[in-house]
Amino acid sequence: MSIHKKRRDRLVALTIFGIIAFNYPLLAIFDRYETVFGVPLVFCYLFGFWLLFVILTALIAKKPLLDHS
Amino acid sequence: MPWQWLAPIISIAYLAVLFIVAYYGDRRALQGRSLVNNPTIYTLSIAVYCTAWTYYGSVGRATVGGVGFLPISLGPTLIAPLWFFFLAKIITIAKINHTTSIADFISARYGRSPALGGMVTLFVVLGIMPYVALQLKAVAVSLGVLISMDTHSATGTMTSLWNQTAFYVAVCMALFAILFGTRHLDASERHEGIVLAVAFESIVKLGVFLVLGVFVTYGLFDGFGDLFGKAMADPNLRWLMDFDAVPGGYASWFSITFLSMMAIVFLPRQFQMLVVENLSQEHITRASWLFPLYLLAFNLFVIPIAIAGKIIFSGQGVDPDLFVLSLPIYGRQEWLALLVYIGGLSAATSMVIVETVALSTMVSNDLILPLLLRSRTTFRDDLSGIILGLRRGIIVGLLMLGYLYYRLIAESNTLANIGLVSFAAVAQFAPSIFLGIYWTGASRRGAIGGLIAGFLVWFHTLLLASFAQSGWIAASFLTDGPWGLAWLKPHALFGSTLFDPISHAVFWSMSANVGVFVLISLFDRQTAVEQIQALNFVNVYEKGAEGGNEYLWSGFVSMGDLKKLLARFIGPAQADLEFSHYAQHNHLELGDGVPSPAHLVAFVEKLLTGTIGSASARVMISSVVKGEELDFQGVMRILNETSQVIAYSQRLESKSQQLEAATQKLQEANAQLQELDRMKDEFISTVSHELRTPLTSIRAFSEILHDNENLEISERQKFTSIIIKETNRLTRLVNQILDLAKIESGKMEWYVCEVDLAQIVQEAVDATRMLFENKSVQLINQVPDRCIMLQADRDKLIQVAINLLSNAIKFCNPQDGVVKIELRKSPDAIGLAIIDNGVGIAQEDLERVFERFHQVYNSPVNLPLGTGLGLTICRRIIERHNGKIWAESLLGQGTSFIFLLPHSTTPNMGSL
Amino acid sequence: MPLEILIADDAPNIVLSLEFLMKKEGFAVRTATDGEEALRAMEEKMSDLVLLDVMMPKRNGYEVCEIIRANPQWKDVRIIMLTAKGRDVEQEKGIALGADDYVIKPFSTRELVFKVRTMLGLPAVEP
Repeated sequence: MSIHKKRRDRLVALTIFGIIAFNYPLLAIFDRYETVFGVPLVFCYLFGFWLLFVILTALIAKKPLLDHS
Repeated sequence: MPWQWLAPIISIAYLAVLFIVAYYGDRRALQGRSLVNNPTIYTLSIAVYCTAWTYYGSVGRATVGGVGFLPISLGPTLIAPLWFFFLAKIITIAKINHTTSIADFISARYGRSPALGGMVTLFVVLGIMPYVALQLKAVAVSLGVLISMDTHSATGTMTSLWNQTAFYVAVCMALFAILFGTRHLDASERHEGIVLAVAFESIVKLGVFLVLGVFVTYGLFDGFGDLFGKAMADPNLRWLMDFDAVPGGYASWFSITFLSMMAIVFLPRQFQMLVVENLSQEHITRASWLFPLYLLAFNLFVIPIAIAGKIIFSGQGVDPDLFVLSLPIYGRQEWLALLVYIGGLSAATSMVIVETVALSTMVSNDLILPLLLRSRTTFRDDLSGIILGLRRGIIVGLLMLGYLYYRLIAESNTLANIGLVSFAAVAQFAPSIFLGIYWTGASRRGAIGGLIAGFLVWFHTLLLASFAQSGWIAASFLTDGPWGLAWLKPHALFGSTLFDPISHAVFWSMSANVGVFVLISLFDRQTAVEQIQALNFVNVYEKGAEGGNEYLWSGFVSMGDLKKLLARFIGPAQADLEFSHYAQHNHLELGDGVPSPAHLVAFVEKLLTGTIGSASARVMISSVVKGEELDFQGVMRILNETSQVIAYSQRLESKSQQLEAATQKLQEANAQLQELDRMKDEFISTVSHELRTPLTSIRAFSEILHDNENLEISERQKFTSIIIKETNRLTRLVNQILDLAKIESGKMEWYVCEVDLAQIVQEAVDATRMLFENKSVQLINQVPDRCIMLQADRDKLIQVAINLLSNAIKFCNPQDGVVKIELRKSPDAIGLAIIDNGVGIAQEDLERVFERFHQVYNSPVNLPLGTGLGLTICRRIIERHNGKIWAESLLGQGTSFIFLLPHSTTPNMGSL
Repeated sequence: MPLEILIADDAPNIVLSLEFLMKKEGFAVRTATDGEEALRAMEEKMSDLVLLDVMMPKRNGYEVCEIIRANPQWKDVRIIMLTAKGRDVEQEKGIALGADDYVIKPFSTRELVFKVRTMLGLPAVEP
């Protein structure tokens, strides 16, 4: 399998993972009146996971493509 | 401070800065030192996505829907990883085909259909104009608040002054779009100045919003903890921290996420930035994570600002959409308020400018030009000026339309959700594009059907519904359905009340769109151009960088005519340049009268596509090319070259075993056919030989008799009798050949009835009695003289018996010949054996004696009698009766010919 | 001494007619009814001309022709092939194997006599 294809599969998996994480029912688990360092849990989850998602995208996307040369 | 006049001046000054930035960008591009060829600039230009609606509206939405505003940004974030495939593919296709708008892209994919391009353009204008109006409203309202510097003015009520500002803002934007969007006609339709200005504005709007967020959170309050703590303590705010606050709940959350996934690519301004203005696909890598990060930053302070506004302006009637402006005014930070206003202006201007430039390209290339070019067959003048003028007019027209729309519904609530309505409109393009680039079967009629179905549902469930909500049409339209038809209620089609209005509209419009699209495509026949374009799009990576359009044109056009055509659209100097470049690259001899090779025609078509759109380019090229537009062989060549064939052969490979077996069968069949052919040839040759031999004797002796009148009587008689004998032989031969041919072709007539085998033997013996006597051969008939009944053709069976008997006479011992006839029986068959006492037949020849003409060359002694067909005919006759015939022999002791016929079964008289 | 002709054909009636024709022209005639017999006759005594049928038992006309041409002693023998298969290939094959001429059955007796005479360098009347 080429590195290009591997990267593609990872990115597709990431998107699916993200869509699941950002929707019902996973979201509902964090939908509680609780706070983390004074911030409601839902916000923490949404923005925290958002950041994680961006970092993962960057890590996978920035991997140098060996077959590019 | 006199904001009354300062605010407009600052607005103008800001726009002037924008002009300078854009001018600088254009100049750098001209100098070949592009500033825009940079992944960060590319990312920032995509941020044209964040409009005034996001800038002001997110906070407003958060005050009533909690986190419900987030999906607008989550959608693009979630789909960004997939840009590597589908966006990269769209960009590749667009570059190869010189596609410069979403309408052109769809039109080109579906056989360069002008109807489709026009339709998409109309839908876009219809779906996007309210969105543009929304931007004008945002600028006008925010400017009004800034001028008064009073939070109490931020109630969202309109004054005539605001209307005037909105008008001037629109004029300024039109001017900007015209200056930088339509400076020149370029095949690539790229505008580096605008891209740079938009990137600049993206920094401004985000920067200001972050500064405001920090000011509100840490200036007005004591950090996040303090803000959220107060909110959680307040029962009026506490519910906003819950997901239940999201209007429409999880379903709407999901629907809006989906809509924004589509909108981030298919909104005309997004397509312009992501695809048309893209300089390198490498830029996608950074954009895929940096843009979501940009969105994250943009949304970080939305909730804190919303909560702060709710707490501070509790019960004061301040419009939550204007909290971002009211909060710094409340905090006495007038310069910050000014900055916030500038940020909003940035968001609005970049959106409006890019949107109108993109729309003007679409309206001119896909709506007006095809009609214009069709109505006039010849153009003597330079058209590039006309087209530029046309585009400028369109920009002015679009902005005026936006302004009118704004005036019309400025005071209604219709604008609140207009962004989502636009999103839902452009999402209708998703099936045409996604299926178009991944499924060759997607057809033009399917795309048209799907788009119309999707848009009708969209129009009904969202646009008309929003008109009803703002009171333009009767409210009963919403509550009772049009004409009182309950199943057509725009928010509950077919009684589906499960969804919120947006989810409802998304579900029904996408279902209708995809459903109709796929259904029609499955049963549709694509035209040749459609098939070629489908393959060009779907298999874009398998083809070379320039695609496979070379064979599209096969008619005749001289280079001179072609260049003249090009010159009309891009100017003579530019046309000259393009031609000489191309000629140099492709080692082409240029000359006005020289016929253009097909690839040159395709090249010019691509250049024109960039300038006037693919449908119009096609019309223009076909107006100068004489002859066939597309020849069948050309199509076949393209089809052959495409990876469809590769895919097909791969599928074949996977079936290699079946294939091998099939191949072997084929080879066998082929060998059999060749053998048959050879045999037929051999047969004809042999028949020819057999006929010529007696003919030779007849002719020779006739001529001898004719030329030698004084022959002796005895000699004369001898020769005459030879002639007669040979003539008989010839007759017999012809008859037997005809018999055999009749049997083998199935044309022989058979008369099957009950026959008595003993009687048949008797008749055969009677017929050959003379032969026995002449040769003094003894006959021993051992067949019992009683009825032995059979189903058979009587005459044919007698023929077999006679044949076998005369053979036996011929081959029996010449001294004291004996021929025996015996009855033979097996459990289910009955037949005869005819036995001679001759030299016998070698074991290996026992079967071959039944072959046609076998005896002629192979008999141990020369026997000129006979035709060589007798046994063959016997075998055919017996086989037709489902019987068997064979020979048994011991060398030196004679031969037996035996045939058996089944008692019971009906003879097979049909063709074999 | 008269010139001698060898007639090789498996159809007795054709042999009979040819024998009559050749004798009438004053040639000495020998006959053979298959390929081997024809070769034996040649070994016994070389004929001046062979009328050679293609389709014969044991050894066909082509083989006989080839063997005759392979023997340098027999290089002066004239060979006329008689063929009853009408195909051009058969005729070409005969010429290729070294036959001097070919005649398609059924043939005109006058034409055959003309061909034989010319080939043997005798005065002949155009048929």
